[in-house]
Amino acid sequence: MNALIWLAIPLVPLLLAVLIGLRPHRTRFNRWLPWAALPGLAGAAVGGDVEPAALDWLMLNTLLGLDPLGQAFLALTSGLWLAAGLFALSDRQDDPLRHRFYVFWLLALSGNLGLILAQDALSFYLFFSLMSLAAYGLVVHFNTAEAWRAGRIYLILAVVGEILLFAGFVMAIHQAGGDTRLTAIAEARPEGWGLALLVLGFGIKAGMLPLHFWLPLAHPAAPVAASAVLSGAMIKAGLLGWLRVLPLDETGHVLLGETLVLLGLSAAFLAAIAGVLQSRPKTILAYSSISQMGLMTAGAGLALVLPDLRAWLLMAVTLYAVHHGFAKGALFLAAGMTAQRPAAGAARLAFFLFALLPALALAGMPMTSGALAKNTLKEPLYDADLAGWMAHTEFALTLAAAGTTLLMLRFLWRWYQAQRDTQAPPRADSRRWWAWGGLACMSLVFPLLGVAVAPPEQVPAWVVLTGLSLVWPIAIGLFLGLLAWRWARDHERPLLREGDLVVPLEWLVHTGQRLWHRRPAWTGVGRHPARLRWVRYRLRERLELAERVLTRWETIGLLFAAAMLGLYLTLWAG
Amino acid sequence: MEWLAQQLAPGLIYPTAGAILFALGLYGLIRRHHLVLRVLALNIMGSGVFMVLLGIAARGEGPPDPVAQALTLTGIVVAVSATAFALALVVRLARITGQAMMLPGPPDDDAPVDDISREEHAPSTEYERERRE
Amino acid sequence: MSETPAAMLPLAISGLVALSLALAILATIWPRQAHRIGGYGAVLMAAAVVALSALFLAAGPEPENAATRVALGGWEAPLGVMLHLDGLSMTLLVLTSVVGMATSLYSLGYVHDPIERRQFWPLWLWLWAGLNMLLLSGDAFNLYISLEVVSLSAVALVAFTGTAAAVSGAMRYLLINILGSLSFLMGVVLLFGEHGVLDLVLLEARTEIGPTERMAAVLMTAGLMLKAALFPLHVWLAPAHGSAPAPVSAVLSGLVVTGSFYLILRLWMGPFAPLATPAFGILVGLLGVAALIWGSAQALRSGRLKSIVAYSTVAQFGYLLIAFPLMLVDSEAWKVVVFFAVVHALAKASVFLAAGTLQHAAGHDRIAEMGGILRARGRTVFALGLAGVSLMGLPFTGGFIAKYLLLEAGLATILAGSLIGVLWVIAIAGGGLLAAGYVLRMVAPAFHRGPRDAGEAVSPWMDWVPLGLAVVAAAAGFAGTLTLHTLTLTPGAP
Repeated sequence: MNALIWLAIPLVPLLLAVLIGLRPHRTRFNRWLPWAALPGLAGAAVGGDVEPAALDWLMLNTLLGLDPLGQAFLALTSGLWLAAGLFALSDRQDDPLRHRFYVFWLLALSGNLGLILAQDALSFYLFFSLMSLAAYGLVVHFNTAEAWRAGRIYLILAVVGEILLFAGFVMAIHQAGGDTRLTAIAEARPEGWGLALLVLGFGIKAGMLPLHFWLPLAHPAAPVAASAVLSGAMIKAGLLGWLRVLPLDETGHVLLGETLVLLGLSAAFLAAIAGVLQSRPKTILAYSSISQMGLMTAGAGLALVLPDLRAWLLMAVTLYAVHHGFAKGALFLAAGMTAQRPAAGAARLAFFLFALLPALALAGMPMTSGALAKNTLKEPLYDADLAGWMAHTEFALTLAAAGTTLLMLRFLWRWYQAQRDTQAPPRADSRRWWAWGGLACMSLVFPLLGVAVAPPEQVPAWVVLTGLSLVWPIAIGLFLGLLAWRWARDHERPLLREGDLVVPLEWLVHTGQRLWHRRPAWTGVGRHPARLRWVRYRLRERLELAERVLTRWETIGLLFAAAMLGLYLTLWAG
Repeated sequence: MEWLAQQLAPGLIYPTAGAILFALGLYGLIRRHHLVLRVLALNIMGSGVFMVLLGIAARGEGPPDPVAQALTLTGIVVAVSATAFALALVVRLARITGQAMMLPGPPDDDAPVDDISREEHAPSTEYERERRE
Repeated sequence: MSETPAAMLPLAISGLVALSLALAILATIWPRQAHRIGGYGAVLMAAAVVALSALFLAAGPEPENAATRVALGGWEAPLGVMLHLDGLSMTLLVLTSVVGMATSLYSLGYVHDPIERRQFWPLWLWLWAGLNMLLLSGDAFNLYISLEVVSLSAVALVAFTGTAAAVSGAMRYLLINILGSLSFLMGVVLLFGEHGVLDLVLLEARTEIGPTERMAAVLMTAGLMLKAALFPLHVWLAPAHGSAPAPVSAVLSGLVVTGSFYLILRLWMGPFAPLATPAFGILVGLLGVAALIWGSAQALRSGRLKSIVAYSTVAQFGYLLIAFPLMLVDSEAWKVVVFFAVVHALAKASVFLAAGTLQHAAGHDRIAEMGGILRARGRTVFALGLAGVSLMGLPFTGGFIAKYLLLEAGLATILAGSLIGVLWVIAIAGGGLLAAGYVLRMVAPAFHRGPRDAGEAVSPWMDWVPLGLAVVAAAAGFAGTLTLHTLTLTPGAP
């Protein structure tokens, strides 16, 4: 029975994908698109009490279930996919290729929900791959040159990530004595290559610093709703993977932890700088995602360095992930609403409010979800004994909010600019408004609900949602924004090419290709494709000839005798 | 001389001869190109196997093992039917190609394909037409 | 229904053998209705095998005595003929029934000429009956007889189209098969002379390491290598499988070759197990690596669709050879090998069926001229691609689970201190890339620009069965645990 409940969550979207795929012209099925995430939401609401199900007849001992960590991620994921699905349904309704989009959407959704439930390495890996590969279809949906470039880079990194993960899992499972359960893998403390491969494999998905460059390309290229789930939900799969398999036990792992903290904090600041130099709203948001994921990476790293505080820190990272997922989803949807600005009145006020609210939450405005997440993350660091540069972690985490404020200012400005020439639509599109407004309000509802459900023990509830350390970085950000106002506000082209690291990489590849095409004769490598064809032709000829020789009866007899002799000798000699 | 006589005791002479027949048959199968000869070579190999079997059965004292004889009989039945089938194939190949030889080598990339699933599948050879009628 | 499943098993086993023989005989004496007998019989047989497997799983509690042995006519071994069912044969019986049923349904559409139908169905039903007997036989001589039944009916099916290439291919197939059978029989005779019994279980108990056993092992293994088309004795396979009708190719590549390999495995897990040496494992493993490279290279060379698929069988059987050295280190690895063989058989059969549909539509199978057909027949190309993806071992397919398990076993070999294990792991991982190469050769033209041409109309059976079987092949990974569990119910195996 439990098995059915758990299986239904990823299977419902899968089934709908098959239905839409088989009958693309039956529009009836399309309407179900957002609600495919509903079983996931229901599972997150009641799933804490349902026992995990061991489906040992399925694949290799599939284990599906929900721990508190998974519950939070499931709530975020299914809620965000639901809202974004509602948005996508309205956003894509005139798109001739919408069925393709819906099928990829549902496949990715199935993978994303499934990987949260998966408690064994193999099914986790399969759902993870399903999500990664199906998301490719979302990235390239617009069929433009930009989309194909972004898709190509996304696909390369996704496949590399898959290979790294697979190798890492095989090694880690081996270290765990063949036990494929994720908890067993984490308990066996993966070491060496296995650990490195797992960290890198998940790092690609989580936008970890040197492997982040697919993000600023893929997010702006995809349709708005897809960007929202890419940035809000799918990117968190990498984080979840880390939390599931890293050795987060009482010993911790100082080296890995310090590396993650360093990479995370660098990402938080560098991505903020790179993002401010961008001009397209969605690119700015993508960089903000890298920056925010940096903070979560740092949180995970801290849990490895401070094993005593790991329970608190993990909860903080999870809170942060949920907060960021909803806020970033709302902001991406806002980017898709530029053509929907109402002419006047309360609607117009709501229009700006819904964009402002998640932006403020990301910056860590008191009383918003950002305040709760940031305070929780920094809380245990005040009296933790961290040596060396690590002692400044808390300060760095606080200061990062200044960068976020700057990014949000830049985003809001560019977003406002994008609305300049748009006409107010004759009628408000209620589905889009509901989806967007719902997500935006989560920035307020979520912390209040959180405090109400689980009130903090030592301090009054409002204390965890306020604090001076939240306000001064925002003030610094505003000040910097004012300073840079005249200099930077109107540049239409990004001052830093989108995808930062990808630019030199692509240059290297192109230069290599150019050099290869113009290689001088003295290198001895055939210059003409004709020569290559000739070599291939000769190779084929040789192979065919060899097969003919093998087919001769004399050869068969000789080989048969030789096989017998060889077998006998090896059996005899030992 | 005495040694040779001992070795040639019925217990060993049949297996040895059988092994030699097996090897001769293998040689024939490889070296002869006419397909009927090849089929015959396989029969010689089979005889070698049966000879070994019977020789082993008669090795001990007392009456020979009836199981071995039953096996030999069954084996001969199988060998006869396989031979008949092989000869039928040889005849068919000879009717199509005009010679009792095998086509050399792996399938030619340009050889025509006769697909029995197609409607216009026409009897391609004289033999085939014969078979239809 | 007061009887326990265990008590009903012997009856069910004899019933299955009787059913398969009865179908074959019935179709032979009543050729006009042979296609009906075959069509309904296939469904009946599949149902019987499913029922048998349910009985088996319900009855076989402990791995040590999970084997059910039936003495035909009440004569026990060593005199009588024993039927023997355990986890290994059960798994392959299920495989045979799945592929057999798919092939039968496909043939309903493929062989439509009334005269050809009368010849095709009896032969195919004999082949199926022979396979069932092969899997259920418990003594060495009976195995030889089943091998011959399988070979002769398979040869007749290969020669079925009657072209020079087909008959010549069948001739070579026949001669090599008889050579292999005779070699196998010589080994049987040697074992019989040494121990006086033919039953595999009794033989296993009596085997010790000696020159006669070694000779018998060599003769039987080499003979079966010929029949299983293991490199370098594979040359008969491509002409025979390439020129046979599509459903026959599917059965040959999916089941017949696997049947020979099953025998090799059974012998080396049973009577010959004490003979195995590390050097033997390495030799067989090296042959496997060579097979992988050679078969893939030939598949990449060949210009015809069915030749490509046939050579891919040569390549994929390399994996099964590579498994031998792994089994010497980790004795559990044999289950992985069987699982791999099952997944391969399903995928290969569906690739051949899909290739048959395309060939039928185009009227030829020259890959260079098939672009239009491939572009127009999306469903069949999808089946081809899906099964191909399973052959490559990409995620979500049965092939992925199989490759993962093989890699895991390879890693264990390395960690056990065997340096050559690195070679096995590289070969297992690299083989997937080579497979990707030849699968892409088959499906890539479908994605190029160009005219579409659906070609000849195909019957619904030919349109849908390849897709169905490809889905089964891809989903076979979901039955991974079940298969491995069934396989543990094999007594005597490690």
